[in-house]
Amino acid sequence: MKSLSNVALGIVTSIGGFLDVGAIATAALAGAAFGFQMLWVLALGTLCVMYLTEMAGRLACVSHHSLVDAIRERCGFRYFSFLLVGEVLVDLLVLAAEIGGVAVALHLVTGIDYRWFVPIVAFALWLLIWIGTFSIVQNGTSVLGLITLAFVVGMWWMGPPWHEAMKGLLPTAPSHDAARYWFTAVGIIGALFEPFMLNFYASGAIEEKWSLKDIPMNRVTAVLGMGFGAVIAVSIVMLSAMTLGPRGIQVDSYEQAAMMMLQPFGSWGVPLFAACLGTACFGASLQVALNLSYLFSQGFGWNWSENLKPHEDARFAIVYTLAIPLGAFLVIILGDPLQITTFSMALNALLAPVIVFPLLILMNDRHYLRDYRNHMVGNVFVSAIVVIAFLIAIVAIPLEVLGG
Amino acid sequence: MLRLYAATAAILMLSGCVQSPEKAAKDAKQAADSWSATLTEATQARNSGQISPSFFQSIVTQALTSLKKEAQTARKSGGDAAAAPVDAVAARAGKLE
Repeated sequence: MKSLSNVALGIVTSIGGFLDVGAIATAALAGAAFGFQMLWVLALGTLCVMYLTEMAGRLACVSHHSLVDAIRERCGFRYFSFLLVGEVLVDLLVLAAEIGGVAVALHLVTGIDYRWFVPIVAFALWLLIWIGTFSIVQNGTSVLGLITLAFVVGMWWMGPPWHEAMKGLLPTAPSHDAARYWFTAVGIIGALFEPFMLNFYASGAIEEKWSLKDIPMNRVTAVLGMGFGAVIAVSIVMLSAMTLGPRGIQVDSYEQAAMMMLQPFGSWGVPLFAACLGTACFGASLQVALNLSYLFSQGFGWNWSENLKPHEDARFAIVYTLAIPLGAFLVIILGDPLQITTFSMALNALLAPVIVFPLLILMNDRHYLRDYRNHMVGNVFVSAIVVIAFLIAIVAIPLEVLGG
Repeated sequence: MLRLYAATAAILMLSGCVQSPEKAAKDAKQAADSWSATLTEATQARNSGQISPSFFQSIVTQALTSLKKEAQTARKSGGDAAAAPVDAVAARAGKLE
């Protein structure tokens, strides 16, 4: 039973941090514009995210510290303050994008302007965190998230050319639109590297009281959970490549993305797409809102647990109570959830080194990890991917802001 | 070293932001083709009952908003000729509204 619960944590983390509004949007966009050619970016990013998630879980199992807690202890309060400011800004923007994603999903089904749904979604989100426990959040999202398997069914139903898809797993130079190709690659990597996901996973491991004996299960959970997200994301790329690409439809809006489900599912296509988008974004919103509370509470040494009643960890509850309306306000003020998503993904790539490099330091520290430290190959692999993503993001963000 | 990084970043940013008239025309044509294909597909799906009238309306509204933006960008960099394909698809979307 505990093993199932562990895997559920992996899947919920995957739905929130991996398969969210950003991943759905970039995967659909990549498939429509470049067919199977960008599958290698997803494969590489997935390997990296699996490894990072496993590290965050291993840190919790061995040291019983969450990531933020350990970073503050190891790197000092000054570094933590820097991390806090960066992560709060990015998390709020991601929270806005995810709330916007749920609202857009409801708009796709009803035709009513998505902005009307924003306060309702925000209230439902707050209420679930306020009255729910970590198990409810975790298992509820995991079970509901299984609906995203519709993308896999749709892709399978279309009878994909597997030989072509396998070729996409090998890195190739773009056949056309080089600038757009690399920008989309940054988008995919940015959507995979969501720094909040690591702390959420480590905090979840502590909520679930993981210990040394859970280390093998942590590995399985990281691989299965992130693997689940990867399979869904790959299916979206392939489905989009088989349905939208050949018709010359590019993805500039969620309405266009939803059309990828028409061919396999007919009149059920749009409602199914909306259900997948809504579930994935709601799971991610829960995760980001909770992570903001974890971030403040662990950093400042307050009581924290989603399993406590709000009056037992009042400051933990206050953080998400303030963050959720603020996120909702940002969606209404900034407009276009797809644009908020694109921008927040680039910021994710920029913030990644701020959290990943201290994680690598911790994972090589005998004081925290004892005999469970990292191997050199893993350190080099993760560092290389994060540095590349960071460098590309430095260029991508000004381009995005200036509309280049 | 810091200056070198700053200069490289500035060149990369500027090279991405200065849009030639040819590039503007190509981007506009691409957007127009994509929205034209979307409208064709959506019309067929509506006629066969695969999508609801409200979803069809959402697509048309989205197409008009997006094409308006594209036309403005294309006109600024490439003049009326660059924006012509976009205007044509926008006119078609307007009739569907």
